[in-house]
Amino acid sequence: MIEPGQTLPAGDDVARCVIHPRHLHPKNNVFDSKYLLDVKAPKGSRDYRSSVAWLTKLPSTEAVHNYGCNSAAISNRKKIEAGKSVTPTKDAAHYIGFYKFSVGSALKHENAAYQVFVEYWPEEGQDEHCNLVLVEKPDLPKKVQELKSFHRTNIIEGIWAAMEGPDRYVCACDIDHSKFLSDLYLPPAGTQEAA
Amino acid sequence: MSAAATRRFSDGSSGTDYFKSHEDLFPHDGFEKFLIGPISVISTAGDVNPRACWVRSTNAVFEVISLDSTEEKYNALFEALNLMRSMDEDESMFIDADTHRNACSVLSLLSYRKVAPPKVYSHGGDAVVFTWVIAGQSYQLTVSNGTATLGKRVKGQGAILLGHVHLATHGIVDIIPFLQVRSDRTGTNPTRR
Repeated sequence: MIEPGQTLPAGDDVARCVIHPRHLHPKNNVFDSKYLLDVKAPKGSRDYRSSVAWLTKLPSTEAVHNYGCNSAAISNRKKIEAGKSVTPTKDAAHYIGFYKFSVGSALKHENAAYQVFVEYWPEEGQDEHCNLVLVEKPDLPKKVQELKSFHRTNIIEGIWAAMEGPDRYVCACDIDHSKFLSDLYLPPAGTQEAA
Repeated sequence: MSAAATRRFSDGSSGTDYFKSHEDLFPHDGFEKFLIGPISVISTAGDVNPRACWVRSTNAVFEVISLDSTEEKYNALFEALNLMRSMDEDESMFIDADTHRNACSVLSLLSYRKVAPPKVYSHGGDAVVFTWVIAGQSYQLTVSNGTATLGKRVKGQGAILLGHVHLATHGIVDIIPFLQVRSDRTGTNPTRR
């Protein structure tokens, strides 16, 4: 039994849900697909996180899609509560599919600067929510300290290369925008794109 | 390539000179006459998009001006960096002011040195990554914290560090040659040096 805050075993799979427009800039094709794996550090923290869903708790593709639709709905609710616009196909969140990767494929990209793991971290009522976490190792030599961002890039690039997908979907609530959302390009996982 | 053909210029005169005046370099009634077929342009320019290019002559020296999408791609890249900077701090791809400034500086130099336009992403708010796929290998130039680090990924070998420089020392100039491989692969491949 894995408790919140504990790490997932290497053999488990996780999914990275893709939300428009957070993850897509269809007007501009200069963005590299790896932005789908954006990692962020909370203020004052040196640990970087990216949300993923634990597929052990989402045993079917349909269950993952339901999770993704729910994630978009939560995002829209929070935007409305913050007084922000949620115009469909513009600034409203729409779930359009997911990529998946094994926890083990992430763990093996630990490097001189960062430890990598996936922690179970339910939030916003989503019991399947986890974080991909990059934790800066203590007492880094100056040379490694200078190369931290490079090491972060390598982890992102490495995980992207090991991902599978995408598995596309349009949520029932987005059916009126089905064509727009289906036409958004999602690159095959692992591909390196020439500019 | 010879372009010494008799031409009639916009002021009514004619001659075997390439162009009469600076005005003749730009679209006017006679502009159609100066369009050069793409095949002859490719043979001299190598990496110019044949779909949209024209040539001009000054002092009998041909200079190729590409109207392909390279310039537009660089403009779009600057726009992308501005978009990242304009995002709220909690949004995907947000970058801080220092990272934006440094990334713009590096991108300016890449453009000036005619490096093929990269793709771009960011991570952590303090790093911009420019990426290329050259001859089947992927390259990443990570700009962060006043430094630029060039790496490449080789399938099965993971990441290889090619160079790490401080932007303040203008060291970026030293690693740009790694990326100056022509898109048609006729240029020198620095990985073989």
